[in-house]
Amino acid sequence: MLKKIIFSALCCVWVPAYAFDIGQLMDELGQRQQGRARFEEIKYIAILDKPLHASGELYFQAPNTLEKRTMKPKQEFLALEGNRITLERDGKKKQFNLNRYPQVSAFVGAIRGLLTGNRQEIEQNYKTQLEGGIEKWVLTLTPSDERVADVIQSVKVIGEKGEVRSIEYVQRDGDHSLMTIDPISDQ
Amino acid sequence: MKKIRWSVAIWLVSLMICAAWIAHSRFTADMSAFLPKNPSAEQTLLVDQLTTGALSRTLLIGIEGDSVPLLDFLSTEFAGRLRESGKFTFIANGDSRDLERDQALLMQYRYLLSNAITPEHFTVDGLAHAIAQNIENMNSSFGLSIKGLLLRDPTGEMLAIIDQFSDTSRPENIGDVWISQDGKRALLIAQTSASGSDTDAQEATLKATRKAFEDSRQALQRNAVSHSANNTANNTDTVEKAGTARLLLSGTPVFSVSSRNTIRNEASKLSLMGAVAVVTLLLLVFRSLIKVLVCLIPVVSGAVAGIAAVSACFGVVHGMTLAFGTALIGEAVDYSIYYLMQPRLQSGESLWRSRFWPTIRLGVLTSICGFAALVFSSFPGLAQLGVYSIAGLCAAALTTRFVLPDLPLGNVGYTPTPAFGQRIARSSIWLRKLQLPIMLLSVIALVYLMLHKAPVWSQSLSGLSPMLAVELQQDELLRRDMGTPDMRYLVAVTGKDMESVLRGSEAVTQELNALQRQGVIAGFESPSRILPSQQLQQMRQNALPAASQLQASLPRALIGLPLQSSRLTGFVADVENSRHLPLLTPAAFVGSAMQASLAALLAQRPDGWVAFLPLRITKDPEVAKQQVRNALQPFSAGLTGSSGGGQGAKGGNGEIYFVDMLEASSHMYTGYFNEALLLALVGSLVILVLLTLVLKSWRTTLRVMLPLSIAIVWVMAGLVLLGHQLNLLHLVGILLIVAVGSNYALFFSQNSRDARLQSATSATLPPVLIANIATVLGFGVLAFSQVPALNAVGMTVAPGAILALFLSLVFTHEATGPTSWPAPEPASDAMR
Repeated sequence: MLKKIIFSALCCVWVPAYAFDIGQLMDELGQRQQGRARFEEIKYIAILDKPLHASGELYFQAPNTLEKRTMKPKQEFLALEGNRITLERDGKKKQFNLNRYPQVSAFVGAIRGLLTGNRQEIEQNYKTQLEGGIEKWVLTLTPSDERVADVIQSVKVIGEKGEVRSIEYVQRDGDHSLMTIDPISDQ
Repeated sequence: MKKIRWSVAIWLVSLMICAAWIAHSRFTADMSAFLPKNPSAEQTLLVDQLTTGALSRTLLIGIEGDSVPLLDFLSTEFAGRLRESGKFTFIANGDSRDLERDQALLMQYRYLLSNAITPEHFTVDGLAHAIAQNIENMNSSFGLSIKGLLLRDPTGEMLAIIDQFSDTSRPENIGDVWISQDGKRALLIAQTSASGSDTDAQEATLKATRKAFEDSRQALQRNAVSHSANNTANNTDTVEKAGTARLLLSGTPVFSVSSRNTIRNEASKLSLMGAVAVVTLLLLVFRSLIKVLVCLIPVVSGAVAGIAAVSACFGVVHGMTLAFGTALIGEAVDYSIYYLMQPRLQSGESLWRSRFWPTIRLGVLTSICGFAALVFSSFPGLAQLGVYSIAGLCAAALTTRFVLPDLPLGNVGYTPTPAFGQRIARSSIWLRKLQLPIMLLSVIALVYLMLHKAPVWSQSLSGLSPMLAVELQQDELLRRDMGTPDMRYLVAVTGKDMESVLRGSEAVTQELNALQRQGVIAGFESPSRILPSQQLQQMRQNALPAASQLQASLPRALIGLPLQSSRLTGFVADVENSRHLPLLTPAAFVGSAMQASLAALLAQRPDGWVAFLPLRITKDPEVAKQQVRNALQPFSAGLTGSSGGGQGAKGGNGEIYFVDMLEASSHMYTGYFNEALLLALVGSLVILVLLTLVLKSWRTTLRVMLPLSIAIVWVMAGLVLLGHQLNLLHLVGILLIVAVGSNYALFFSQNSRDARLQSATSATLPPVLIANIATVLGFGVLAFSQVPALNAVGMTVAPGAILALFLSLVFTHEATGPTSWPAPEPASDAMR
C-alpha cells in the first residue's frame, strides 16, 4: 500500500516533467508563425543611480525576422533579418553582421529564437534548463560562447503556454535588465 | 681589299659598342611608357598614384575558402607569415587583437582626435548635454557595448571618433578577421616595402606572398592531421577544404608585374614566331642557309642599333618597344631581300647600285620622316618607338649597302626571263581595269568612315593598357569586398610641409561635410580625420579644462542625471593627462590599421606634401562635380581653373585641386592623340615634299601616294567594320603603312623607268613580293598578341602592307609595258 502511494506520488511529480521538455516548449512557441507584442525594458545598471526605462513594440515572423521598435524614451528601430542587423537611430542607419557582435547576437538572437520557437537558434548559443509545466514555465539559458559568457551570466525566460512573458538578462557584473512582453492579438 | 676591311671593321666595331651599351641598359615594362614627360599638376597626381604613391604599393589579398573557421585560421596564419617575411611595411586582416590595440590608441588620444572638443564642450552646459546623451545611448539596443566606457568617457568621445572613422569603410569581421559579405573570402590589405616603380622587387614580394600562403595552407593541414585523433571526420573535412582554398591577389603591384611579364613573354614569343616565319620564307626562296644568314645580318644589326639608341636617348628601354621592334624585323629584312634578289640584265650587269639602292635609300628616308614625327611625341612610349625605328632602319640599310657587298658571297641576284615579263605585262592590262572599281570602293569606304555614328577614334587610355580583363574583374571584386574607394574623384591638397597640407585638408573637410549633408556627395575620406593638424590638436588641448576646474563643473553638470560625479575620477584624470600628451604624429599610428589609411591619404613628395580626399559622388556626376568645384572656390585666390580634369586653387601656402582621375587620364590621352595626329600629318607632309623634290614630278609623287592613301582608308574602314575602335597604336600602324608601302610604290614607279629592263615590273615584282610577305609575317604575328597595343599595330600593318603592294601594282604600272618605256632621267643618276 505504502509502495503504491509512493509510486503514485512519484508519478504525480515525474509525469508532468516527462511530458514537458524543451522540444515541446519550442513546438508550443513555434505555433505562431508571426506576431506582435508590446515590450517594456528596464535596465538596472550599478553605476547609475536610477534604472533606465524603454518601451516599444516587437514584431516577429518565422523563421528569422525580428523587429524591435523602441518608442520611448527615444525612437530606435532595430531589425534582424537572417544574419544582418539594421539599426536606425538619430536619423542614421547602420548595418552590421550578427556574427560581429556576439553579445548583441546572443541578446536579440535569444528573443528571436524564443518568439519563433527556433530550438536550433537557442541551443546554438545556450545551454538550456527548463522548470515548471506548460501553464507556467521558467527557462534558464546559460551562454555557451566564451565571449558572450564574459558579459552575460544567464538569461531567465518566464512564459505561459506558448507565450513568452518576460526575459531577464543577468550580466556577469551583476547588472541586469528585465524585458516584459505583452502580446498584441491580431484579431 | 683595303676598302672591304674598313667597312666590315667599322660595322663590327659599331656592333660591339652597341652590344656593350645594351648589356648595361635598364629594361622596364611598367606604366611609365604611358605617362607624360612633362605632366601638368593633376597629371602629376595621376602619375604619382600609379608609380610611387601608396596605391602603387598596396596589395589587396583575398583568400577563397569554404568555411568561415577555415578562412579565420588561414588569414591569421597567413598574416603572421607575411609579417615575418619583412617584405611589407604593413599588413591588416581585421584581426580583433589588432582592433583592440587600435582602440587603446584611439582611447588614449580621444581628446585630441574628437571633433567635438571645443572649450564649450567642457562648460557645465556642454558637459551636461554630452553626458545626458551618452546615458541615453546606453539605453539603446547596443548600449551594453558602451557601458564599460561610461565612467572614463562620459561625454562619449570614443563613439564620436568611431563615427568619424567609419567613413573609412572596411569589411566586417565575421569571426576573428575581415571576411567578405557573402562569407566566401577572407580579406587582407598589405603595403609592400618595395617601391611601386621597382618591378623586380615587387615580383619578389609577390612570390614571397604566394609562398607564405602555400606554407599557411600546409600548416593548417599539418595542424588538422595532428589533431585528427580526437575528431576525425571534422578534420578530414578541414584538410580537404584547405586544399581548395585559393589566393587572390590584386592591386597595382600585381598589375605592374603581370603586365611586365606579359610584355616580356609576348616579346620573346612574338619575336620567335616572327623570326621562324621569316626564316622559313627565306629558306624557301633562297634554298641556301648562307644566304638566309646573310639576309639576317642587317636585321640583327638594325635591332641592336635600335635598342642601343633607345637606351642612349631614354636611359631605359621599355618592353613594349622591344616587342614592337620584332615587327620591324619584317621591314629591315626587306633591304637584304632587295639586295639578294637584285635583278640582273641579260648581260649579267646588276641593277642594284644603279636602280635598287637609290630607291631603297629614298624608301629609308621616307620611313625616317614618318618615324621622326614620333620622336617628338611627349608620350614616351611613342618617342621610344620612333628612335628605335629610325636607328634600326638606318643601321639595317647601311649594313645592306656597305657591308653585304663586301662579304664574299659570289654572285647574287637573278635574271628575269622574257616569258615572265610578258605574263606580267598581260596581267597589268587586267590590273588597270581595276582602277575605277577600286576608286569607287574607296569613296564608299571614306563615306562610311565619315558617316560612322560611334566615334572612330577611342578616347580612353584603356586600349593601351596591358592589363588583362580577368585581372580587372578580380580587382573589382576585391575592391568591393574591401570597400576601397576607387579614387576616381578626389580633392588634392598640396603644400610645402605636412602641417600646411593637413590644415588645408581640415578646411576642405568642412566644405565636404556640408556637401555630404546636402546629399551632393555620398561620403569621403580625409587624412585630417585620422591625423588632425598640430594646430588643431593644440587648440583641442587648450580647450581641455584643468582637473580642479573639471571637478568643480561636474557636480553642477550632473544635476538631474543618474550619475554621481564621485564615480568620474577616471574621466578627470584622463582629461588632465590629455592636456600634457605629446601631439599625434604619423609615427603614433605605425602598426595600426590607421597607418595604411593615412599612408594612402597623405604622402610626401620631392617638392612637398600632398593630401588626398577621395570622395564618392551620389547623383548626376556633372552637377555634383560642379558643386564640389563651387564649394572649393573660396580657397582659390584669384586662380582660374587650369586645363584638364582638375581645377586648381591657391589655398594658403599650397594648392587645392578637385580632380576627376578618369577625366584627367582621358585628357592626357586625348592630348597624346591629338599630338600624334598632328605629328603624323606633319610627317606625311614632309614625306610628300621629300618625294616631290626627289622625283621632281607632282604626278609621280601623287602616283606613289594614291595607293597608300587608299590602303589606309580601306584598312580603317575594315577595322571599324569589324567593330574595333581605333586608338593611338592604330595611328602608329597607319604611319607604318606609309613607311613600308611607300617603298613598294617607289619601286614600281622608279624602276619602270629603266629602258634596259624588258619589263620593269617583272624585274622588281619578285623581290618586292618576297619583301612584302616578310613584312606581313613580321607584323602579322603581332595580331596574335594579347597585349592590345601590339595587337592593334599588327591588325593595321599586316593587311595594310598587302593592300599597299596590290594597289601600288594597280596604280603605278601605267608606265610599264613594252610599248611605252621612257628614257632614264638624269635626275635618277643623282640618286646614286
